[in-house]
Amino acid sequence: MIIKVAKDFSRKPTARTEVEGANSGEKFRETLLVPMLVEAIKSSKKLIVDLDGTAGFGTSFLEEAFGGLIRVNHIEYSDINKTLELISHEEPYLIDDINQYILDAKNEIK
Amino acid sequence: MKKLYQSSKYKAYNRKHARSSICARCQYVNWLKNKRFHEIGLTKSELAHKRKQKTKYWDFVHICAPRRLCVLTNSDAVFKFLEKIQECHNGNKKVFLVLKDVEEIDNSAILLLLSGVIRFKSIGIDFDGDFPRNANVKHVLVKSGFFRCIINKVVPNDKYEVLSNNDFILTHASKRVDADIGDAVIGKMSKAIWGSSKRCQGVQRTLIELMHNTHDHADVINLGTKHWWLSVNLSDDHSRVSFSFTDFGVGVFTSLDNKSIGQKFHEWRSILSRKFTFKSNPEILKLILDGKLHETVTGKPFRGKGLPGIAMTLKRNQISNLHIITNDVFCDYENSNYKKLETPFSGTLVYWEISKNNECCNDN
Repeated sequence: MIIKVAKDFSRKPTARTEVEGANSGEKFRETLLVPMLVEAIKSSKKLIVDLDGTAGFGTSFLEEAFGGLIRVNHIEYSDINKTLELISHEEPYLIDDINQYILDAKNEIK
Repeated sequence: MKKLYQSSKYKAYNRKHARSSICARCQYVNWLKNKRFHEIGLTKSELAHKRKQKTKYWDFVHICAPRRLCVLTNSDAVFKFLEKIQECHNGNKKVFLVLKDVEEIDNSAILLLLSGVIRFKSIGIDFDGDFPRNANVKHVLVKSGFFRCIINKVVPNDKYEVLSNNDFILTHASKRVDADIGDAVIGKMSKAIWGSSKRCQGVQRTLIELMHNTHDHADVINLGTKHWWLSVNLSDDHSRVSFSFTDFGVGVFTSLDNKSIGQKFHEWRSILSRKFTFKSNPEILKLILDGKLHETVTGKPFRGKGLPGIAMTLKRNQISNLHIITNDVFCDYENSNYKKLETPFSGTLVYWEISKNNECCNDN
């Protein structure tokens, strides 16, 4: 299962929440990422999120989209770790950043 | 003759004449007081200019721009000039900008002028100015749309746009985080530099971070009330694009100092001082840009967020020539030059450039 952010969501991801700007991390998480991740977890498949092809990401978008999986949607860290795979050839540093956002969210709710 | 002056008709005429004479004299004295009041604090050249413009702009505050109206190389004089404009904005006073002696101007100064015109006119305060005598400066100001803004009416809005005739100076303002503007501007300018439309993720990230900062922190009480202003300028030889981004909020340090209990950076100074020694805000800004403030206060690395994240885009060669000006600090990040400003700037101004030497991706 694969999500290409640029094609399936928006080529121009914006802010953290819809109040701050359209095409937010909150909207991406609620409308696309969570439904597909939950389905992937249930069917024991990998969910690949391809971050290439966008105009560029703000850190708040990524933190809300991925950190919010644990903080807001209460998905287990172990399930996310097993299921989610990230691709970012254009900005390889994003993968480390996102993994850290997820880990920080896990440590916050402990 | 004595009989004439004692006649009741003459006395009545004399009384009426004396009354109107006193009224006229009182009106003149009030007018003079008002004129002198408007001249308080003006320099000799400003006074001389004002007296030449007696009829049309007598009740405008005449503010002379420095000869070198360049934020990056003459910041103290420019912010002193800006402070006078800001005082008029706060006091609802009409402003006449004396630009005739300006010999040099940079893109950040153009942004400050453009945002000034729109801010004044959108709340109904008259704003006017004269043409610079220097042909190059005049040409750049005309191209930027500054004088068009002076002539045209400005309606209060959440979004503003000033485009030049040839689309090589673009100015936008908004209160929201808007990725569309960044993408459109980068796409247009990249065609001029690289010959084809490109995606500059570092620039887009920088813009989104700055828009977020304005939305969340420019006002210490309410979110999303202040405009951010962005001006993008292509150099004449099409080799370089410069970006100037500003807001007229409270500035980084005032925003941090006003964080309340429960907020991430509450009492940040005392926490930071336990680990680092610093004497002034320029030294603190260096710590902020190196990510030390975030790490010390929160216990975690900054992970690309905020100002340290923007500094990171320079280290990755996604942008060049990064300058940050906020409160009383001027920073030329690439050359590690941090200095204290004599006249603080209440707000934040960030400047950077891109050229063929910076990283970008093809537009699919």
